[in-house]
Amino acid sequence: MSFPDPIQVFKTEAAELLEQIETGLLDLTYDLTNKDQIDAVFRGLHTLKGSGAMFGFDALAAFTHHCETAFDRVRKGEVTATEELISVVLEARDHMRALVENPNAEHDAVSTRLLADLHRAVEALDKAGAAPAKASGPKETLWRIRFGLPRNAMANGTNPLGLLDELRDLGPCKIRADLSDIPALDALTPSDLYISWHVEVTTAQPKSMIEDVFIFVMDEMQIEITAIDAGKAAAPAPAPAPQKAAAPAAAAPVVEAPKPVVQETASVPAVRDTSAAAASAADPKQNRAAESVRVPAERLDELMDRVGELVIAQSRLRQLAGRNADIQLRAVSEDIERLSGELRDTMMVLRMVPVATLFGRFRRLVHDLARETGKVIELITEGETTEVDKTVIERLADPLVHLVRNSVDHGLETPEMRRAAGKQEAGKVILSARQASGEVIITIKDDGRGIDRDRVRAKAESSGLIQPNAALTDQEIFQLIFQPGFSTAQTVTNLSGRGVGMDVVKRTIDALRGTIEVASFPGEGSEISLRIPLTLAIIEGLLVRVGGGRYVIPLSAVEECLELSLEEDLRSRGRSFISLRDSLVPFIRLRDLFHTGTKPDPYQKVVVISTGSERVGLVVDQIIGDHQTVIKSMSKLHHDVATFSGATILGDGSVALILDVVHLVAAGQQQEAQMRIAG
Amino acid sequence: MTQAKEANIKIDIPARANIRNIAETHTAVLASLLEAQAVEIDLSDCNDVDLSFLQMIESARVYAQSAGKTVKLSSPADGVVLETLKRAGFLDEITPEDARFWLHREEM
Repeated sequence: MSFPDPIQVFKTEAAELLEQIETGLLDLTYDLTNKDQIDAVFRGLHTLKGSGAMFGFDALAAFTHHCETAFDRVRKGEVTATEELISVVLEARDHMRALVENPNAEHDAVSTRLLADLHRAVEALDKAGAAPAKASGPKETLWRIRFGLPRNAMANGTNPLGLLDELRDLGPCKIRADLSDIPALDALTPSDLYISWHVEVTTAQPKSMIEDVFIFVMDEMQIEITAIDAGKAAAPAPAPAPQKAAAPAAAAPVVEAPKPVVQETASVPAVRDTSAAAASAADPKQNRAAESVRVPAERLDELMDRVGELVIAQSRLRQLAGRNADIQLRAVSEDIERLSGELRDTMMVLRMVPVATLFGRFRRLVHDLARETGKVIELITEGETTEVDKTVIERLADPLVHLVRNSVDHGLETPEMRRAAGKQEAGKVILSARQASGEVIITIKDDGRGIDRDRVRAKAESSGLIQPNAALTDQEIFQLIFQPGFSTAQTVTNLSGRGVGMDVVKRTIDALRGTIEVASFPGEGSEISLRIPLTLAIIEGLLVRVGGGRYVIPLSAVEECLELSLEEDLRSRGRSFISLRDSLVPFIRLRDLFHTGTKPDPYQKVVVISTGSERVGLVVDQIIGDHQTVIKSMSKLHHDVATFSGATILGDGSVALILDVVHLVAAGQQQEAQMRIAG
Repeated sequence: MTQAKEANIKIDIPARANIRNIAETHTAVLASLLEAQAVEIDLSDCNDVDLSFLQMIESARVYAQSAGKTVKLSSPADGVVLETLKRAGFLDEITPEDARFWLHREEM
């Protein structure tokens, strides 16, 4: 058992803090005075600085300190946050990530530039003037504060001296450290904190500002805040009884138990979520931490591999048991089969992560795109609790970036154009996710101008992608935008228009064994749906034999199995079509495709597979049956073999290749198109 | 870090004595106190200390008192150590005993 590298642990925590900072900043853009978000950003910056310094990330700590200071002023109401400040801190946040990931790289030039930007943004705040005064005048109160921090506060990156400094910032302060709990040296855990403090501070600030000093540790610490001398304060209520003013020590203490300060809000006007995600996002982080265990992703992958091996071994056991008359062996085999199936299902659930982790990053993208294009964009996310295999999530990120960029650049109009078209100034981009029959469907929808069919068609004709005047459905025309190098953009922008990107989307989705559907209506917008299998690790497969080799067809793609009679086979020679309920379905003889050199079985089978509305038949010699298929990647040497998407190990230890359904359907459709052209 | 002088040991605290290396510093000071009757702590090289270090020194004082040993500073706290003492609230209501230990003064 190895202990986690503390630096790696910090990096993981820093990544979460950076995400929290980014979310807070983006939420703030919708309400620049949202105190919860201001606190969340400040808290994140403060913790990142403290933890960074503790783990030796000095450049990070020094850089973050400046952003923290700026947000501290916002938090204290000295200045009001502006879009400019938020944009600078967002950029600074990206730089902080670089400082975390590559602490030894050269960062000075970027740090200097960003700090200059930050300085300018803060100067602008100063010129704009302070935030409206909350109180009518400086009424000072003497507060007595007793507090003790959690024992592990220092080890967790909290700097008690920083808290004391903040109390001093509130006004004249007398601080006494209580050392009575410090044990003798031989009983001391040196990173633990045994000191508590008694503080008296005279300030015009309200009690909430004192509580704000302890905002990060409030939930775990002990604190008493007592107003000792309220005589200096002009109470809105009738004047206090004279004896209270005369004898402050006897004044009724205003002692309040600490209350949870971390209340993340989900009320972000422009990022709506109709699912329960928003509610769960509002849960205090501590609660989540208490209910979950952090496991490195590679350990999950390792466990998945083991489960895969177990499934293969179980498959072998089933074969052996099948050939053996021993009833007890068969019973054990069935038990193992059931248990390994349950284990596999449990494992699948462990690998699932909510799509919110994917959608979250698009808020920043949309924010940046809005600034770049001058368009007003409202990002709406739906179904963020939908869970998808973590590998799928990782691989979907790039395609979605391309699609969102495309929606913003090509789809949404400028505010002026939208007004002229009678639309709201803010264009909508809706990202949604849902599960349906073993698939996750991710949709990117906008209410922009829609895809111009005629331009797509004209471009495809001029590029030779389609024959002039070829009869194509809308879906077929829209699918052309995924061809390599295809772009109808008249100008190339930083965002899109180079024709690179949409083909990447197609390739990635194909690789995920997914499909893309496009819908578009002129003037109303476009909708692109990505249908992706829920998992990539283990699939239900149909094991078939072609010649001497065995192959797996993903069961989710199988529509039906038919027998190809000798007569039909002979009749279809040269045509390779079968008639299926009054429609012609092209088929591919896998024996020919794989050059098996064997004679066909007298009773061949056709496995009809489909991707969406497109179907193709695969002629095989024998259908062996269903098979739990643990997908193994092809070696680099075989990576370019398009007909296969992977391999699996069968119960007898032999290897079966997994057929790439998308590729085969496309090949079948191409065959059909050629037949049509040939007449 | 340590230099044995029969029953007395002098410890030179390194430039950085904070939460990052407090475990090492703690081990060194404890070892000295276990070994010697009197331990003198030299803070003259210190330029980066934090609360964990001050707490560890206080803990050494507690140990020394209970074990009938002595611990003292080679010279009065100054520079960053003095500044940290102030920030931590060690000096606002300092007792004569603490003043003698930290500042080598009879009274504040």
